[in-house]
Amino acid sequence: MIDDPAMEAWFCREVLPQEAALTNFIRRNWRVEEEVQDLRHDVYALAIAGARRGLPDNTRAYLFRVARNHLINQAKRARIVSIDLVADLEAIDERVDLLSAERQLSAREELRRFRDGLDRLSPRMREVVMLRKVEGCDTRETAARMNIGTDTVKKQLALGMKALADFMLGGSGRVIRPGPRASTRRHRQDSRDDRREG
Amino acid sequence: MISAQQAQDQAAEWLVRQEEAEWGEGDQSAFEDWLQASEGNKAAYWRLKHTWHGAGRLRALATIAPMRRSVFARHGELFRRAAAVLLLAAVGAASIFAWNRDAAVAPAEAAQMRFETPVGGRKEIRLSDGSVIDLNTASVLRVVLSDTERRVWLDRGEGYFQVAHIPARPFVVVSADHAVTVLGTRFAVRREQARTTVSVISGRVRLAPSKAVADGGRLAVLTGGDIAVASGRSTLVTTHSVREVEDALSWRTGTLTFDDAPLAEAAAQFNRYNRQQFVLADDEVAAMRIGGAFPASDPVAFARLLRDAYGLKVQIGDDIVKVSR
Repeated sequence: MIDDPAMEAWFCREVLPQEAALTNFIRRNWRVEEEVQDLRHDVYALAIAGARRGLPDNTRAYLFRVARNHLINQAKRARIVSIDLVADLEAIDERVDLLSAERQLSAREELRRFRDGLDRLSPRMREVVMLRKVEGCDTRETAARMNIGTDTVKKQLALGMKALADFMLGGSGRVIRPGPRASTRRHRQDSRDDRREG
Repeated sequence: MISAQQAQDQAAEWLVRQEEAEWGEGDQSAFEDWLQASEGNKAAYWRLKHTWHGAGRLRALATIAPMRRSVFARHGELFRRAAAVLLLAAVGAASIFAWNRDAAVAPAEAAQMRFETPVGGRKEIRLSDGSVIDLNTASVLRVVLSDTERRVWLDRGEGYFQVAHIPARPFVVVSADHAVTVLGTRFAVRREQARTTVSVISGRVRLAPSKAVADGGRLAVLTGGDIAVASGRSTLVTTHSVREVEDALSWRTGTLTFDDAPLAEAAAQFNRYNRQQFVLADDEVAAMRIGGAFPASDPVAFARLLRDAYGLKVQIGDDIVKVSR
């Protein structure tokens, strides 16, 4: 049984650097764009559950196997099957060696991505994040300096945090507002429209 | 399963609250309950925490932020102009021996030219084939131009190459135990004892181990944005940004550019260009992160900045600049 600290270390070191590739894989094999993020989340949860018995030797191959199986299960349920699913996975296995280097994101590169991600936020969101991360202000100080409420600070911070994570892991860095529950998945697109509100 | 967005929203909420002063034991146990509820919650929380906390180092850069901004404005311009860039680093353990072997097999029929720069020096070399080499500080380079091949040995230091496109005569740079083969491109190669760093702007580059490590060694073809790290027989390829390459090449304008680099690295860079050598008092000082663009020939100005911006103690002597807390 792999405990949480070991699991978290593995997840951050080995799994997260694959996020861009994994997202592309799901997107290529799934016709409903709005469900891609949910599917990726499912894959992460399944990958963690599966790795409790022992961390895999080849994380990338393992992750894509989990993804493929999950997509096939979902596809059966939805009665849509993509032939590419199997072919793609075989292609990925061959590229494992070359692409395993993706995890070697240097600290400098990480910082640069963070900064690039900041540029994509709205001016207000960026200022909240800068005050917190760079100046080290707490919520109350941030609110006072920007002359806005503490709840707004917290909200902007949570949104900025998510957009930055998305961008730093290879996504678009769009701001995604807290949405309704899973049952309204299909309408997710509506809540994504404000990628740059400034 | 719970929706991704819901899990992410909750994870973000927890992370924001955890940074608050009023975070207490009750909050902690509620958080633990939430985290333990599913692997999905853990995935969402770890993912967000990893990127958010990973960016914590940003604080170290705050003091010299205005200077950095102008640097990046310049690089933004360069980014638009550079079509494809890759930076490649090769590390070889047996480089000295491999080097001797390569030197021994250097063709004797064509005339060999040797170029050298002193510490702090820079030299532009125009070759008869139309290629131009900028030789950086404390560097030694030998060139042999034949009808079938153009070959360069980087014995020490760093060079920036603008290679004339002649398909029939490949241009090969040998550094440590790797050879870089190029067909019409612009790139830089730097050698620090066993380590080779190659930064390429535009074009395709082939990286191959020299004969000494060729058994089982891999050949890598790199295109724009790739970074390869080669060590003995293994080669690692990663994707990088154009800015880092431009930073690495800023010496051509007499500037040293650092981006969240440890002070030890910055000091080593200054020491390459100046007789006056930086000495760092301890590991803690050496590990401090700094960023900015500085004149390479003015270690004293850099030392003053360390004193003023970071509150470090600086003793400036004739031969050394000592930095301590």
